[in-house]
Formats: sequence, structure tokens, C-alpha cells
Amino acid sequence: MSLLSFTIKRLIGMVLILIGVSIITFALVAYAPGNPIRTNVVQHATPDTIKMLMHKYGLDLPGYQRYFNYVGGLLHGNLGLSLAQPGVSVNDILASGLPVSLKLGGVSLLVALLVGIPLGIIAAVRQNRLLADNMNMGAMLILYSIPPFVLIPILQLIFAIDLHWLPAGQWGDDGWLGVKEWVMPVTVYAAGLAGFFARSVRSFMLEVLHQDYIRMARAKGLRERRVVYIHAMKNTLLPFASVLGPTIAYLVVGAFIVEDLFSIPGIGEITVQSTLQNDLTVTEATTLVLAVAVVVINALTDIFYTLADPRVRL
Amino acid sequence: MSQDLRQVPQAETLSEGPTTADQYVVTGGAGFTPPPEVVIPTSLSREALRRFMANRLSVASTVLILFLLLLTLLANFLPLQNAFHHGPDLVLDAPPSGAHWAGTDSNGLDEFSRLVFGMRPAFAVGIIGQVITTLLGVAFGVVAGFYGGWVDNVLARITDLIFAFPSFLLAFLVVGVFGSQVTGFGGGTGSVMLITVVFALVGWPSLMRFVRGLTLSLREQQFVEAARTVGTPGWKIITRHILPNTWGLVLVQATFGVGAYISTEAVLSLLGLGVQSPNPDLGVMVSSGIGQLSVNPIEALAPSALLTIIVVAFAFLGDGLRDAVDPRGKE
Amino acid sequence: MSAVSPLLSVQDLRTHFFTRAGVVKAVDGVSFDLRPGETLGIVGESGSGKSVTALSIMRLIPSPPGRIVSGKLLFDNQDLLAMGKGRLRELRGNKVSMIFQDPMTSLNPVFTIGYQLEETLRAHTNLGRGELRARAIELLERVGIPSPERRLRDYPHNFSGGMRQRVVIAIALACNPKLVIADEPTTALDVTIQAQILDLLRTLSKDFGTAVLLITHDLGVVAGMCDRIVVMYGGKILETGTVDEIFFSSKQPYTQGLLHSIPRMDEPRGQMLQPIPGSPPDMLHPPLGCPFMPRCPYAIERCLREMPPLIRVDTSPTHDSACWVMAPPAR
Repeated sequence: MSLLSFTIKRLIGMVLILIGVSIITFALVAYAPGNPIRTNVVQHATPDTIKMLMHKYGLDLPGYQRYFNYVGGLLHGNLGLSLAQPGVSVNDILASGLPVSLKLGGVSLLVALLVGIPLGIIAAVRQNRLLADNMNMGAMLILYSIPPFVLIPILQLIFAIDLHWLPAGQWGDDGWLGVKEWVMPVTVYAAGLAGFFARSVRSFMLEVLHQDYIRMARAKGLRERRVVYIHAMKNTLLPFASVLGPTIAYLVVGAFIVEDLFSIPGIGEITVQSTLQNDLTVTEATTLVLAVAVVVINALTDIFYTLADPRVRL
Repeated sequence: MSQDLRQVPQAETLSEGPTTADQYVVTGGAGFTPPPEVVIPTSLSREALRRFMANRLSVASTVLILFLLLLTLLANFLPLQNAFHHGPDLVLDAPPSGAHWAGTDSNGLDEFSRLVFGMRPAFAVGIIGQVITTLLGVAFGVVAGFYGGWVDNVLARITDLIFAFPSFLLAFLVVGVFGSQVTGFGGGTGSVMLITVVFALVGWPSLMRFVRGLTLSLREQQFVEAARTVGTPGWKIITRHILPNTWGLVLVQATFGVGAYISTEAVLSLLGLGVQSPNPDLGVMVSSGIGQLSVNPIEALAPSALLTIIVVAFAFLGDGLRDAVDPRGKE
Repeated sequence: MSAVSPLLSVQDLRTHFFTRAGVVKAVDGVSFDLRPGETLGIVGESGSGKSVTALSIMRLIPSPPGRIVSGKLLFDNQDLLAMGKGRLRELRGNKVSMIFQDPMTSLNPVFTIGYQLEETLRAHTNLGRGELRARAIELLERVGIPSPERRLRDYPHNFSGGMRQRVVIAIALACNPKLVIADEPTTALDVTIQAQILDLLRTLSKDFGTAVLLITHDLGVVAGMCDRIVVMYGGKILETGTVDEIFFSSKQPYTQGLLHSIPRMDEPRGQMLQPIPGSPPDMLHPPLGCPFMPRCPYAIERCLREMPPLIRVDTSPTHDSACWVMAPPAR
């Protein structure tokens, strides 16, 4: 199987999954109990008005046709119409939140990588030493298990309410060159991820450090720094791809919580609010967009790692 | 010669007899025969239990979890204040006192008993949900791994599809869609049941993949081949040889899974889905407590702390189980 | 005897491993010398301590469980054990090289062999880029790898097992070491390739005057390659001598047992193989006296209590044996 045919197969698989994803998401919302028109759009409406509105929103068409309309809309970038705000497109609702969420997620991911990976390396290289390994990894385990919404009240209490250093729950404080309002959310968001990265890196690196070629590198008289940062590192980073899945899962959940508790107007917060108002098309859109993003990223990563590992020759 | 336990850790459970016993057979010379030494064998699960017991952190975690579980299960029989209605004296946001061990919240309800009752959704979703997930995951995983073929392919497609979704979002969506229907049912029980079912259904593919992998590698081992040669039927091989060798690792995964479910359930109710106020639930309590931080910090911190303790306890428990069952990481 | 001072002098080396189950005295009082340009073979079964001896010389013993407990290691009159890490690194790969058993795992799979070859040169010499490449090509040619210029850019998995071992040898010889330690260099290879690799080693060692310390369990290997042989068992040396002395006039029951157990082409058909009865000692609970005692047909009571010292045998300056029965100390 050549590289090209592998890539094509993978991409086809990806498309099939995307279709499945869209069907499931659509079906869940379309067949949700209760008539969205009646509950959301209009409070006191005559049956005629309801029927007219249903026709306008296309809700009286048979299922498969609604699905095709939906997919057609998607391919044009149209995520549908809001159910709670008549006439407003979902695109508009979500658009404002997207850059905020991306920035929050991006910065947190970066911080987590910068903190987690070095800690993991230290723990592996100094295996079983109390501070560098055991306590380090114990702390990482705690960071990684504590749900973010637990850290948040504590941090908010200490830093916002007691010490008044950082704003509590209001967005839009531009202190410290615009960084002030980001400090707590990013810290909380990155903490769990950093813990996860650190433990994973340690685990991978330990495996690598026990390999024969590491012993050989030492027998060649290479500096220990070279042995670890060149020989061991390259072999450690490749399996790092396996952490991508849990990372994305964490980023998604984290976004919802952090945005909600810090009142950050990102996609997560918007989606939550919409769902609570039963504006399910928004939820549907968010789910779909994120699912698509996950699938595409996974497929690309797969292809990338097939290219990057010299051992894999198709 | 003793076998390297790491290569075939499961061989122990196969036969009755010890495989690591090394009878020191001595052939003497010239009329001199020193006494033989016998090494006492231990079965893998006894070894695992011993290792687990030696890990103080794991044991402490187990005790704590059992205590909390018992507490919440027996909550109805304990002399607690009412968690649903305030007493005759309505005191809002009271500090801890003899009558209210953790004070009262902004609705005048006793915080402590709300905490105790609040653990119910957490444990219910976590444990029951994970049990269902484990049953489904193991069943499908073993079948897929052992029999392969079209069953495996079909399952692979299904799991691929479920994997494509960030599972949280899927749960979020389902609960969002159906949640309003079931909330009123039985004081929050409806939501709990919905969430349990949703988690179970969304969570099994991941475990199934894991078990499938284990089954595949076990299937290639010699003792399975041996059993097949003798004519043992498939299901017997599965129950006698494959399952006993997977339960340890599956248990580890399941334990971590309970923590994850508890965490996620709290997130859902914190965001406003799932269990709704005024039904006691740790996530709900954090959510309403955050708004009261300056007035009554305990209202948010207490359920937070309790949640943390529970989740961390399960994490340490899982870690301890993993070290007990598969000590490789420590060497 | 010439008064050439030995290149390598190992004196009473003891390397122990401190595990949870107990102390493993892998090497327990090993002494031998190696002259420049000489090829010395260390022969023994698995668990005899031969590999640990080799690793101890390079100070590559994994240091949590293992430690060189006592002894003296002199290389070129320098004290290897007292040396700082920096000086040790200068020697490794440069004056003393090592070849490991499994060529599949000795080379880093994600770097080209050209890179791994030039790396050694870069660490110990001052050659420029072009010179490095030229030298790498020259080395590959010398170990018999065709089209070396092209092969520099290949990865280890592009080579067969035998070729890979040649690359490893090339790396070992890159800086013209005075001593090459080869730990079972052919065990992981096909029999036909084994002969080629050994030939290669022998030729190179002769051409460059490199001393070779060859570790193996295969008597056939030592017969063709070595000048002298050291026989190890249970962490101790039981006999040393020239190839002829060992093969034709051994004064050690273990060595004799080994020699008798080799099937011979010139024996009549249908002759029973004569393995040595029993199994190797449990290194966690080593016996007090001679480790071979339980399997020795000549054992006397003293063998159980006391380890026999190495005694000069046959009035030959090169032939020593440790045995109360066959090499009793002069009264």
C-alpha cells in the first residue's frame, strides 16, 4: 500500500465518519421530543401560525429531506437558524464566540505543553528520586484529576475576592496589558492538561530510556544530555500522538466549564446558554463543528505520523 | 527454570500447579546430598492483593470511598437535617454551628446534609454507569477480539463513529435534548438515570477497544493455542483463559472511569443540565455557590472540596490497582 | 613470559544487584588480565555473570538495582572505577568500545546509520564534515557493506540482521579503540552469518591490533577466535587457560562437563547426549562454597562449605583452575 493510497483511504474513511456524525447529530435534534416551534418560537400562537412557521422552518418535511436540506446548508457554511431567536442564523450566534475560545484554548494548550513536557522529562530522567519524580508526579496526578471547576472557586476566592488581584467573573478587564483577565482562566485550563502531559511524557520516556540503543549511545561515550535530548526525545515524541485524543476531549470539556464559570463569551458559554433556552440548533451546530474538527485533526495526525516515523514504510 | 513472569503473567491462572516453584534439585556427588530448598509460589492475584495492601495511599483511598459511599447510601437513616426544605428557623448563609455542621446555604438549607445527599448522583452515575460500560465493553471487546471477522469489522465501524464525537459533547447534546423531559421525575432521579445511560452508551467503545486489544494479544499466546488443540469450545476459552487474565487491567480502567464519570456528571449539573436545583447535587451546589463566594464561601468550597476528594481518591485507587496488577512501571 | 603490562586488569570485581527480593551477587570475585592485541573469551551459561562483567568494565551497570561493590578495574593503567564521568566518556567509544548482542535494538531506529556512525566520530575527534563522511564510508567499506555512500542515508530497519551487526562493529571501531568488548555478538544472528561476523572481528582485530573481550556461551565460537579463555559459573571464575589448555587438558569438572555435552561429528550414531544434570544456581540465594557443587560428580564435603581458590595448574603460567578436587592447593 503506497503512501498515496493510504492517505486516500484514510480520507475516505474520514468522510464516511463525518456523514455518520452529521446524521446522528441531526437526528437527535430533529427528533427531539416536543415541538420546537411551540415551545420556543412563539408563546401564544394560533394553530395556523404554528403551521405556517413550521413550514417556514421546514419542519413539516419528511426526515430525509430535512436532512438533505441540512447538509446542503452545511456545505454552504450555513449552520441553520436559531430556534430561540427567530430569524437569527446560528452562524452569527457562534461567530462572536469562536475567536475567544480559540485564543483561550490555544494559550492554555501552549502553557500546558511548556510546563508539562519538561516536568515529565525531569521525572523520567531522575526516576524514583523523591522530589523530581514521586512528588512531581503525585502533584501532576492531582492536577490532572481535579476537575477544573473545583480549582476555580478556590482560586477565585483567593485571588479575586480576598486579594483583589484578579477580576472575578467579569470579562473585559484590560489590566496588565490585557492579560489580567486571562490569568486565572488559563491557569485553571492549563493545569489539568499540564498534569496529563507530564505523566504521559514520563511514561513514554521511561520506556525509551530502558531500550538497548540508549545503552549503546552511552557506550559510545556520548554526553548524557545528548543521550536524553536527542536519542531519547525523538523516540518519545512520536508516541505522543496517542495523547491527542484525550487532549481534545479535555479542551472541549474545559472550554465549557471555564467559560461558564468565568463568564467568558466563548463558544462553550454560548452553547450552554442556548441549550438551557432549548435553542437546540445551536447545540447541534457546536457539536457538529467540534466533531468535525476532531475527526479532521485525527485524520491529519494519522497521516502525519505515518510520514514522520521512518520505520513505517507502506 | 523459572519463567519470566512479565512475559506470561497470566499463565499462573491457568493451571492449578505453581509455575514459578523452583524445586532446587540437587544431584550430589560422592555420597553427599545437601537438603533441597523449595521456593513457595504465589498466585498472581494474591501477589496483586499483597502489593495493593502495601500501598498505603490506595488503601486509604479505598477506605475513604467506602466510607463516603456508605454515608450517602444510609443518608435517609441518619440523623441529618432536611436537605430539601429549611427548618422552622430560616437562617440564610449561616456559618457552621452545632445545628448546622457546615452552615446553611443561600436558601437556608442545611449544607452538610445537602453534601451527603449530593453525593448520591455522583456515586450513582459513576458506579452504575461504569458497571454498565464495563459489561458492554468487555462483552463486545472479547467477542470482537476473539472471533474477529465481520463482527469485529462492524463493531469497529460503530466505535469509530462514536469515537469521532468528543464524548462530552455527545452526552451534553443528548442530555440537552431529553433532559427537560425527565427532570421532574422522582426528585432528580430521572436526570440521574438519563445521565447514567448516556455515559454508559458513550463510554463503552473506549473500553471495548482496550479489551479487544488485550484479547488479541492473549489469543496469540501459547496457552490459548494449547486449549484449542485440546478441543475446548470458544466460549470456554474465553471464560476460563481470556477473561481471568483481563479482569485486572479492566478493573484499573474502570476505576479511572468512575472518577471520570463523577467528574463529568458534576460538570453537566454545574452547567445547568442534568440534576437541577433544588435537588442536591455536588455540581449544582458549586454552581450556585460560586455566585455567593463573597458572602458564604463555604457554599461553593465545600462541595468543591468533596468532589475533589472523591475524584482524587478514585485516581489514587486506580493508580494503586494498576501498580498492584502490573508493576512494570516501578522497576 | 614477556613483561608487557596488561591492557585491562580486572581484580576481584564484585557487582551486586540490590532488588526487593534480595541481593543478587551477579559477579562475585572475578579477576583476569587482558594483554594488548589479545583475544580473550569469557564463556558461561546464562546467569553466570559474564555479561555483567562486561558491562561493569564499561561502568554501564544500571544503577538503581546494580552497583560495583568492590574490586579494581585498570585500563591502560588508569583506574576505571575512580575515574570521573567526563574522563570515562572520553574513553567510551574511543579507547574502549562495546558491541551488544541484539543488532535490532542496539541502533536507534529513528536516525540514519550514517548519523549514528558520524556521531561517535564527532564526539571523539575533530574531523570536519567532509572528513567525517569520508571516514564513515571508509568504515562501512571495511566491515564489508556494499555501496557505503548510499547506505549512509539508510535507517537501521533497511538492513538485515547481519548487516546491522556490521554497522555496529563499524561504530565500535570508528575511533580505533584499543579494546573491543563483544557481548554475545552473534547470538541473535543466523548460524551462517555468525561465521562471517566472527571472521570480520578476527580480521579487524588482527589488522589493527585491537584487543577483544568476547563474551559468549558458545564453545564453538571461542575455539575459532580466542587466544585465551575464562570459564565463568555462578558469578565466579572456575577456570582460565589458553584454548588448547581448556579444550584438551581442562582441570575443571564444569568445563569438562561442557566439553562432553557438545555433540561431536565423529562419535558413533545413537550415542546419548551427555548434558550436565541439574540447573544453574539461584543467584538470589547463592551457595556458600563452589557454585557448581550441586551438579558436580566429583564434589566433596569441602566444596559445599568453601569456594576453592584459583590455583595454577600444569605448571603453566596461563592455566588456572578453581577446584578442590582437580586443582588442590599445594600443601
